[in-house]
Amino acid sequence: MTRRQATENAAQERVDAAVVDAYERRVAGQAATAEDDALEAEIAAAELSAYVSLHQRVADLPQGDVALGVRSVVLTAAALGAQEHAARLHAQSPLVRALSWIMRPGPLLAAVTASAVLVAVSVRHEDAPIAGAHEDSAVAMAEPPTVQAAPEAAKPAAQAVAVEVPAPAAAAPAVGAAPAPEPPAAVAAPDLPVAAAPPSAPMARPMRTIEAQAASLGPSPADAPTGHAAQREELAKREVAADAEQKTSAAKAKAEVAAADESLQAATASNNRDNAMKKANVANLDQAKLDVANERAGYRATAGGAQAAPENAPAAPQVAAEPQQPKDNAETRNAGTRNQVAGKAAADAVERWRQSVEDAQTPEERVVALKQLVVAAQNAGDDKIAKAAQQALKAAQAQVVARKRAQSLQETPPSQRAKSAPSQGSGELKAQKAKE
Amino acid sequence: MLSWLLMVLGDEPISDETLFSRYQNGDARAMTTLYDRHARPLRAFAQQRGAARPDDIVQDAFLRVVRNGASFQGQAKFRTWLYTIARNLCVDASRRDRFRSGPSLDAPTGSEDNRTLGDRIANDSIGTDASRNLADRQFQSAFDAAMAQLPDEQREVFALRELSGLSFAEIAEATACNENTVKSRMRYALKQLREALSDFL
Repeated sequence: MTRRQATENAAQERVDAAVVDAYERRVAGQAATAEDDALEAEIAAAELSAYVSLHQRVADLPQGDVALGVRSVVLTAAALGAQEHAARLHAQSPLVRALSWIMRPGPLLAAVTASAVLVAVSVRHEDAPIAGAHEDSAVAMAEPPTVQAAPEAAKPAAQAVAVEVPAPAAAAPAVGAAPAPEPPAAVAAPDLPVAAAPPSAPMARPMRTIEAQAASLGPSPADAPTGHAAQREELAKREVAADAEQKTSAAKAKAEVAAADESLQAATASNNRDNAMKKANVANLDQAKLDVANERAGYRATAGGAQAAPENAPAAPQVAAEPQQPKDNAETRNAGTRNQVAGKAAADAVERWRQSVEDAQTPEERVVALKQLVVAAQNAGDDKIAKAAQQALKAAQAQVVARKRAQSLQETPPSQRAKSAPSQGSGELKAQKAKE
Repeated sequence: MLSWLLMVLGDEPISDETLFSRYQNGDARAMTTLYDRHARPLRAFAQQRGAARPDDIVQDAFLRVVRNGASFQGQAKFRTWLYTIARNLCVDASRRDRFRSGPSLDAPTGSEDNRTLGDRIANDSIGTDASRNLADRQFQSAFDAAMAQLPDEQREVFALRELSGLSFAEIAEATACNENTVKSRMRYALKQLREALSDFL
């Protein structure tokens, strides 16, 4: 079937439906409409009459009865089914029954409708304050026409016009201030020309309505303020409240900025104090270093004076100053640096004193060097060198003693040597014999 | 009980849906009312629809209603549901009757009065049907013959509308057609019946 045929069939179906509707109306005994008259103009009126006659004859035909057996079978089954339905209903819990009742289309539709109405009302309530903050023209735009918007103000205004201006219809027809026999008509009259305004000027109707309403107030508008004046006052109050709120918020913002500045300044001052303390610490450290250097130089000078006699021990002042070095540095340096420096100095001292021991020409120099080496080795923590130096020191001391004894024996006469002999120890005698 | 008394004593009939809801709640008398209200029109529809045994259609249709009563949620009209069931049963019965060898009691006997075999057996056994005069019987025969000449769709729409009293919207729902299409079929059925029964109008 082509589209054209389908269109023609649809049109024909519409015509047939109209004929059948007319037939139905006739059967129902309703009055013929203009549509029926038009149809009768197209089709023969006798056709509709024949249809109605056919309907009556068919309706008069007796309908055959259903067999009694069918009725008994159906009603028996229905009784059993009703018992089953009742038992099923009793078996169901009240919750299930309530849910099944609620989930029917009717209650569901009612619930959805009620919720939609509630949502619409709540949304409208939320939008009301926002709409009130618009400009005055917006208020005039949103305001419905005169009579619905301010019925309380319209009545006294119209009455005033009716009293003070008996017949000014010809004088002021444009603004609609003409008196009318009934107050609502006098107020609503300006809407008549406005209603015919073109839709391209949406501001025309409300503004003209406001003007007309203001004109209808008559010469004493203060006695009966209109809805516009009340709304303007309300709008002014809202603007004042908004300004106050804006000022409050600005003051709060300023206070917050000031607090932030104060905290920033405090942080900067704290930072400066920290930097100053760091600089002071560095200066103290430098001063401590200088003090250490001066003290070290003093020790060296003192040790140099004390060791000036033995010319072969040039490093003696240094060695004498070295044990004092950790004590001087203990106040200003930390433990790591101090230990490191002390260890290095002790090792250097050990090396120097060992060289001094090797370079010693006399036993006395050797004893002195060995004593210093023992001390230096103990300070350096080198036990092996310390023990070896101690043994060498004992041997050197014994050698020195033997040498002194030999010298004294050489200087003493033999008679004195015999008297004094018993007073000498057996060890000394043995050493003397061994030497001889 | 009070509502039942009001229904019985009141003038305004209770709707089919209300009655069936009562039946679903365990009231068997509601189904009796429904049966008495719809059994005869349903039989007439089944007979005009070409069913060989319209009583069987009525019985099967109501038994299905009783059996499947729990599944009826009231989203459609009860009458539309009942006639949809009966229509499907008629379609199934017509398919089965193609292979039937024995004569039907509801089939025309071919005599002058065009009575069915069942009518003839009943009249012969019980007596004459005094309530039906000859003119009515002749019109009945001519009407049955004219209906038999109609296409199935037109005959179905005419029977549902004129014999069973369904509205066009209900017929459209039961036959799954557009309402304008149903009305167009109705007009053609009326036109053909008027031409076939012009002698009686």
